[in-house]
Amino acid sequence: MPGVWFDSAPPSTAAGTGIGCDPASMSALLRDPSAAPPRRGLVRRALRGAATPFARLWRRRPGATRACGALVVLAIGGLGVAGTAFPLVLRRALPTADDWAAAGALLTRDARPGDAVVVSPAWAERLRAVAPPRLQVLAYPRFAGEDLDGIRRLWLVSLPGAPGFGWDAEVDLLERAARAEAPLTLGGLEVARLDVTYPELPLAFLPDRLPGALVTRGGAPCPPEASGGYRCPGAATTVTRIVADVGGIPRPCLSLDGVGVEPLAVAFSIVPVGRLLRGHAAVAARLDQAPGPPGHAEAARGAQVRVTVRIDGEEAGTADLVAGGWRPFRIDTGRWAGQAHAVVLEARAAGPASLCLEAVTAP
Amino acid sequence: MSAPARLTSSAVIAAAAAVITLAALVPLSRAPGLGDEEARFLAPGLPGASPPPTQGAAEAPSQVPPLASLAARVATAAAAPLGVGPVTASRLPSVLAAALLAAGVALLAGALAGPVAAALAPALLLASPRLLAAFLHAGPRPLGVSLVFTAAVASWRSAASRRAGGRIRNGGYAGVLFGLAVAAQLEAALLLPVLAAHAALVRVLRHLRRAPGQPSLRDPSAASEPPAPIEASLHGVPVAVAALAVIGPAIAFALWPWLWPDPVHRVPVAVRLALSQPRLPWTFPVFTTALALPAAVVAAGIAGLLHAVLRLARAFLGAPGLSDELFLLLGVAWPFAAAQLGVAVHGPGLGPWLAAFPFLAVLSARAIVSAGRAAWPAHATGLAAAAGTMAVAAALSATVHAWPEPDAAWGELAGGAPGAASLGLPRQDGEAVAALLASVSARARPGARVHLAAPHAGALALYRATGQLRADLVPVGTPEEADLALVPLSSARAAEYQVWAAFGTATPVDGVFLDEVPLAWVYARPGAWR
Repeated sequence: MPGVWFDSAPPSTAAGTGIGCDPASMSALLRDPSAAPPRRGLVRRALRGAATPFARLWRRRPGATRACGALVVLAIGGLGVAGTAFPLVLRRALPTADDWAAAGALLTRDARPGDAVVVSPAWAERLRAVAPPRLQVLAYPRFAGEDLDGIRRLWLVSLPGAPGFGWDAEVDLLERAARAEAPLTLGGLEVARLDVTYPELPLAFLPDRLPGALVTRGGAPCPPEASGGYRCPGAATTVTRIVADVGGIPRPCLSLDGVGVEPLAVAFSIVPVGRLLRGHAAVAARLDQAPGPPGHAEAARGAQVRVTVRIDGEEAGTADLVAGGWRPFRIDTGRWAGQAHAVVLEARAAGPASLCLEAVTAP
Repeated sequence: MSAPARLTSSAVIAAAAAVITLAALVPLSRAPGLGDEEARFLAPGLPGASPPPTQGAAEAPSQVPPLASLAARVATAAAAPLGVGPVTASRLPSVLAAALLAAGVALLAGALAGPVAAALAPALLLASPRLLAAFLHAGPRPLGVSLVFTAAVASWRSAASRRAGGRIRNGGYAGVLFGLAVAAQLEAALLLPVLAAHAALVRVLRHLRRAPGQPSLRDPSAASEPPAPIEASLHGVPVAVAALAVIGPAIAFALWPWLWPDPVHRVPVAVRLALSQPRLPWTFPVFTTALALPAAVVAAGIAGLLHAVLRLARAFLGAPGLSDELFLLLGVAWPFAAAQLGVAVHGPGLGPWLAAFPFLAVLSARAIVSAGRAAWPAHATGLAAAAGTMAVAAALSATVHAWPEPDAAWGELAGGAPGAASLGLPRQDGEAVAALLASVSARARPGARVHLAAPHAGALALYRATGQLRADLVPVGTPEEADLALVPLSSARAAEYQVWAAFGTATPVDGVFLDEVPLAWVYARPGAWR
């Protein structure tokens, strides 16, 4: 009657069957397939015995009101304790001033021309204050689609213990660069060096060549100003070299403010030209100069600017750039590659617009 | 504890809360820097701090209610003989408003849930860095919030009074306080429709509910079924609402000289100006609150709201307190709604919906006390006091940690300042620049021209007037003409990039940080920083 034994007999009464709690009996049970039902009974009884205190507790559970009250008190008190300790925990997870100084010293010692520093998370810009000024500090949340012009090596300085830290920047960079050596831990900072697999080394960065350029609007020259920019007479049109905030990221570019129907041209006399002229632009409508009926503002917000590139007076290509974001463009300049030429960037738009234009000539 | 004893102990606690608030906030009010909003408020009234030509004021000062600027001027004049600087003196009305608010919150919490709640409520309101910071800056908001709350409580007491004399007296107080609130901040006028809606809703819900339960002692609608003689003569309109509608506008008009010559045309101008605020995304105030405050305070607030909703549901089914619960919930809800609808004056941090927090603190304290009573009736007081103290300790810990930049603090749910920066949340309103003034004064070359990027440039003149910035340093309007640039960091960085372009460097010479998150930088041209 294994079933009867299974349900009712206590383990001590099973001695006659040769099954007990001693190891020998257990091994016999394991060897004998016919003894399987008593083993299940043992497990069930053991489970039942183990569950009994919980069942008792469950039967004695507090009422819903009391439980809710206790839960609220515990939650608020517990969060209070956690909140009191939070500043200390945060302080331990973050780098100290000494860690930053050590990172600065490391970069001063080991960084070479063609290096740049990436901080992760992007807000960790304290590095700007300690890194050598010659090093470009890139504080971008992501690097997918970003040009790394002129950069051969990257120093990734990250705060792995910081709240909000993620691996996005590193993952993006590892698609285009390889880790050169094991990362170095400097307190709360981690410093890794990455070698860019295919460095992009441009021949010329056109915004930097603005001081020697000739700016015209509708063929009429715009005189230079003391600040280094140009202002066209009779119109609120200026051309300057700025660092613009485009989607929260600093973009060094040529600011062409007041682009309109008349072509606004920036002529660079001698520029080394390669197979490609590429760049980015951010277009914004000049709503302050766009009076008109309702709906005109919406039309202006979708402004479009046409950028034409002329080399030695000959049109090399055009790019139609619309408002919103950092728009890339590429123009094939293979016919002129290998020599210096006169390059003209000409912009025109149907309505008043502003343009932040970055352009490089690439080999 | 009997009701009179409870009231007495709550009154003692309220007086203590006011004194402690005053004693703590007067010295603390010297520390925080000038934010953009505060600089805009103070610059027109202080000599040598006129608005710069590049950043004109959005509206003429006379078109905004005058009480806050009047109070700041009176405080400045009164404190000047004592050697108190103009900025600190201008902040005294805000500190007084905080003390008044602490007392009012303690009284209301004490009346609803006893002395433990009376002690917890002001602490829950003022211990958190962001809420404390809101009452340390000069401006119309602290004064307006305090007066709105006290006017609301006075109207509540008017409705709770059994005698006609008490109703009229408290209604009169409510009307006067409401008028002062409107004279401080025009959006306070929303209190009138809110209280009117409260009275109407109570009446409707009482008609709708299944069984008329035992009326609350403080339930105006219960007492007004049938209406008391005084309200019957007002066609059922509560005395306090009538007082708000009559006395309030009269007082506001009397205090606002700009309206006197042509009220018919100028009142709409002022109202239109008040209504022309940007609308916020509907989730913004709630999520910002949840992320900016310490998690324990947020949890207490959620518990308080849920508790009030449950009590309202029970009251709808016949339990007492329908009017009280609706009053408290509306007190929390309307500032959030006003901020989202673009009716509340736009501002940094939790400012646009600041008026909700006194009510939320009362609800939080009551929920903690009720939870303690439900969890362990024999030791309810101790349990509630322990839980509440832990919540307050978390808030105080955050304040101490963030000091002197309480405006830049974010709660644990955001991950502190680093987590908030990762989420792209704003870092501050320009206050952190004050922490750099000492090093600028020490290291700037004599006669250097200093540019303050982004916030109201009048702040620099104010810092110079208060002696925080060396007197020989010259404020200038653009980075191109400056030798040094002070750049507060927030979401938009265009002003900082302009400094990079002008100075030809992106390397700062000094900075101020909260948990390694940069809050402000100093940039210098070669030779300008010694």
